[in-house]
Amino acid sequence: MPKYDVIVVGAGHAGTEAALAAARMGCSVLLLTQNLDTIGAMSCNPSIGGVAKGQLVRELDALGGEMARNTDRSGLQFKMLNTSKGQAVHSPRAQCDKKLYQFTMKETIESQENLESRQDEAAELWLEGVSLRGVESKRGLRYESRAVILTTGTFLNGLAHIGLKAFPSGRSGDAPSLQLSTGLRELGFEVGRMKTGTPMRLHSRSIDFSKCDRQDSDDPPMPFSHFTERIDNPLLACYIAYTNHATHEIIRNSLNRSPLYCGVIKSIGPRYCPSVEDKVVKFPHKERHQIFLEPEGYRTREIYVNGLSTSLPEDAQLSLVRSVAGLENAQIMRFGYAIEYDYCPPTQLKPTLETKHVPGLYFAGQINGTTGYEEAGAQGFMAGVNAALKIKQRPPLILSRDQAYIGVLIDDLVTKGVDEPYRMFTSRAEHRLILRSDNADLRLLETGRALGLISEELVVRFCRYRSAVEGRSVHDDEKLRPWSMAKAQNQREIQRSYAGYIAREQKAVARLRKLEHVPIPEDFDFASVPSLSAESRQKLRKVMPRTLGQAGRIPGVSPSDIQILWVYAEKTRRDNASPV
Amino acid sequence: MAQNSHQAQEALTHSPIKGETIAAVATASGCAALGIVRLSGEQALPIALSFLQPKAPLKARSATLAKAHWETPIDEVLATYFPASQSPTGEDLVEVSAHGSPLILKRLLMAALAAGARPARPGEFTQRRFLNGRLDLTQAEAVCDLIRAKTSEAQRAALVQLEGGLSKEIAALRAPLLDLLIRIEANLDHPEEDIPSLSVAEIRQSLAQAAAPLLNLAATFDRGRRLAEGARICIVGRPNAGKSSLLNALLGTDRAIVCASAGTTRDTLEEGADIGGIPSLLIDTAGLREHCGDEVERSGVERAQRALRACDLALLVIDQSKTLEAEDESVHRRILEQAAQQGRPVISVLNKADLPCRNATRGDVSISAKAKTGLQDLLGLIGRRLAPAQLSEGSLITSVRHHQALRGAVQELEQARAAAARWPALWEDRAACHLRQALRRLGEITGEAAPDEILEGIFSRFCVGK
Repeated sequence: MPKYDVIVVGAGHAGTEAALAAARMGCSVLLLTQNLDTIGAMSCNPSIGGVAKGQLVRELDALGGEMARNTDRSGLQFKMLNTSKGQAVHSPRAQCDKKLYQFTMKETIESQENLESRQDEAAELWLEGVSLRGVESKRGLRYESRAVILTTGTFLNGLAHIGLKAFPSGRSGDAPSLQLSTGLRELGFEVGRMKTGTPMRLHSRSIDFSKCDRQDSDDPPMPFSHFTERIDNPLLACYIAYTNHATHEIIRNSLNRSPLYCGVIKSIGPRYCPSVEDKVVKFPHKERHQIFLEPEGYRTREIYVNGLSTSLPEDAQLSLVRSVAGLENAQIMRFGYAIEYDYCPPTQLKPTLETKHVPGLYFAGQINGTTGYEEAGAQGFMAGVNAALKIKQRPPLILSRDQAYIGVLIDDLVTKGVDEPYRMFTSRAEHRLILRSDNADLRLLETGRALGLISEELVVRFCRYRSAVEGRSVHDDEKLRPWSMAKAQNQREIQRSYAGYIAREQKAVARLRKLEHVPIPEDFDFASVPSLSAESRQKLRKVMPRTLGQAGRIPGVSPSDIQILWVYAEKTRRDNASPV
Repeated sequence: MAQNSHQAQEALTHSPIKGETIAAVATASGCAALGIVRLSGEQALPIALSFLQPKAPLKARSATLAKAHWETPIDEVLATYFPASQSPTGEDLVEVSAHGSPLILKRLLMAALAAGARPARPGEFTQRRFLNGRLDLTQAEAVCDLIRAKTSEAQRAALVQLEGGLSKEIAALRAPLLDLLIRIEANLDHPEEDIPSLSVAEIRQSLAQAAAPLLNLAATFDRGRRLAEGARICIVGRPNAGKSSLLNALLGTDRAIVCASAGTTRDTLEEGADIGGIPSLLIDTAGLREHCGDEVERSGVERAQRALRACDLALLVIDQSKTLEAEDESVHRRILEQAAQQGRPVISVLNKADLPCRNATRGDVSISAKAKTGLQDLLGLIGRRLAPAQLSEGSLITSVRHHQALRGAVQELEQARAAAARWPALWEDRAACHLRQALRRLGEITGEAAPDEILEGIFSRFCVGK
């Protein structure tokens, strides 16, 4: 069997981006998945983007990722959110045909040079001593590689709950991976447990849409990707319905059979993606909650009931749905469920997403305690890129917090860790006003080019666009496509309207950047610095920050600790600089 | 490895210590003959020159006499400039050596901060000496110990400052700001939830409401400062009313020139004294008249008016042995009006009680500076006029750093209001940026950080998420 550069375990949103990025950068890649028919599957909601998540996808696109293009090809409704507010929070979101998304991604994967996909389940890591050699599959095959990227989603020891019944599961209908996490524990990784949930799916003909509020697509739709010029997909509507007192009463009366409220599920779920049980219990005075009815695709009648995530037993699910106006005769096609899964606290990672513990091993997506397709895609891409860069002996790609939401995401994960499934919000980005979805290309396309992930042809056109934005030149739209003079003009206006803020942010960034440039040696022994307080010494040893800036963001590390570390970093630098 | 050396190179060229100029009082607190304020960093010289008027251009490593002036005159000082190549910190350094009064040193520091320096962190001068290669490697440990020790010392001092409910008060002032920010952020991040949004009118009103108590607290700085290091008591009046004699009488020395010819005090004189238990700075000024004679005298009068603006209490000295003319009445009225406008208390002191009384002006106290009668009454009165501030409710701001942070926060709130007015349809992200900054500034006083609180607040108050 050949030796690969990179093996990617899992072919969800993190795995596909990781595999594509590494292969496109010239690495030989093996994509291992339990099931080739679920490549790029949208396991939960049928949408990509949203506030802050849309920004992540735009950034991923400018760097050379796949998610935005795939969304443009499979979207059935496109909306720009927050247009009544400042441009910094304008965020694109698309509803997708789930199967179209999945099979478009499958086709892209299968057409990619250097990339092999294989249906086989990774059972454990193949190690020699402490050095990683590859992956061993369930059927006993050994795949050899220089790097392994684990993107296990909710499959790692997955346990689904409907009512008080629990059954091992990956995504509903798929088998979980049981062995991998045991192996990770044995290797010394800390493994924790999280929970998420998904709502029921209804048959569209059982819904009376006339009783619901209709929500149409923007028309013409604005493409997600910088490189898509127009979208010709037929556009579908979504609908909004509301829960009522009767719904809440049914839920309250069923709590004695809720795994969440009977103590069966002990793991932490996301507060911003609460089950409807949580909504009713925690906000008892709220008269009604919104429910978004979203089509799952063009060629299916399944409707995703966004807002009714639940793990109540089947009969309760049915009666609570039917208490909603418009859903009186609803027919449930799939029941909602909660799922618990293993994750590895991400402070065990370097900012490249490589584990500190096992060189060459990378984690991306839900295994790092995040939630969301976009968060997963962004991490998968960064892990794929960094694995490739390391193999090619090039310097790693670490995006800073003022450069991209992706930088905020990874820095938060590896520096602060997570205490609930991590989702991106614009409020997490302290430089929000300069991290807009409208300038993702201006921020990151140059980086994508340096990685070799943006074609030279596009780069030439982009450079013309950038010079038009800077007011240095005027071009025919033909020479700018997929950009245009109108886009350049619009960008100029946005920049003008934020001018004072941009200047202010840049000043703040310049001040902070300086600390980012003071490196802390990789093997620095924090225990050897007696002047640090015991508490911060312990925290620093856990996170092992690579720069003074990162050290300063660890909760509990004080400015004076940074001053002290600085003295030590300088001492180390001078020690190394002087010939021995 | 190539990467590492590249980073190290960058660390040198981007050395943060080059960017920011720091300032601190370098001598121990409390009264002493001499005190030093030190500035270190790229901008040390221009910042120093923003409040110093040297008698001759500053030369490297030589002390030059200079007048320090910020809003009002501060002191005559000696300024010494050390260019980076010859400075103990390895970067441009200016040492300003002044009289050792805590008030003078604090004002010098405020002048430096107003011009763009930032307060040095504990041990930071020493840290910079090390980072700039002025201390050798063997001293690294000692430098760290010093930082640690100075930090504990500063924390103890901060604790003392935060006692008396200041931290509670700041927390109470933060709460409405945090609340506003949470409401704005919830709307920004969760547009499809039915979260009530704020109108421009609401946000502007809420911001104004939130700013008012911050401003009030910032305004206590003057009173706080007075308690901490002395009140500024300004002696004003018509020429030859006996202002300098009163100063001398209160000090018990012959500090000011006293002479029968009107207009002999042409400069302002400042002297420290203990007035009824409150450490005070007595400021003697030139006599105020409607029409000034020569230029020197005119500038003396301007200084007197400025001193009046910058004081905590004014003593209006009136010569009761003299028949008051229209000009006298008009000057007195002007002083009283000006003081009332600025909210400065005034004590009308009828002087020359040893001579026959020639006018019917009502004063607060009658004395003779020459015969030293009535002085006890005057001291008692001064003490009572200054004291109510001490006993008033609420906290007082005494630290320059705290004052700066409060003022900064107020400024951010004003900018947030301006943003809401300017972009009535697109204000939220901009206003949020200012509110965050305002919270950060308040956090500098109490040591709290906001980001986690915001998410916490959104999730606990609004039912968000599908």
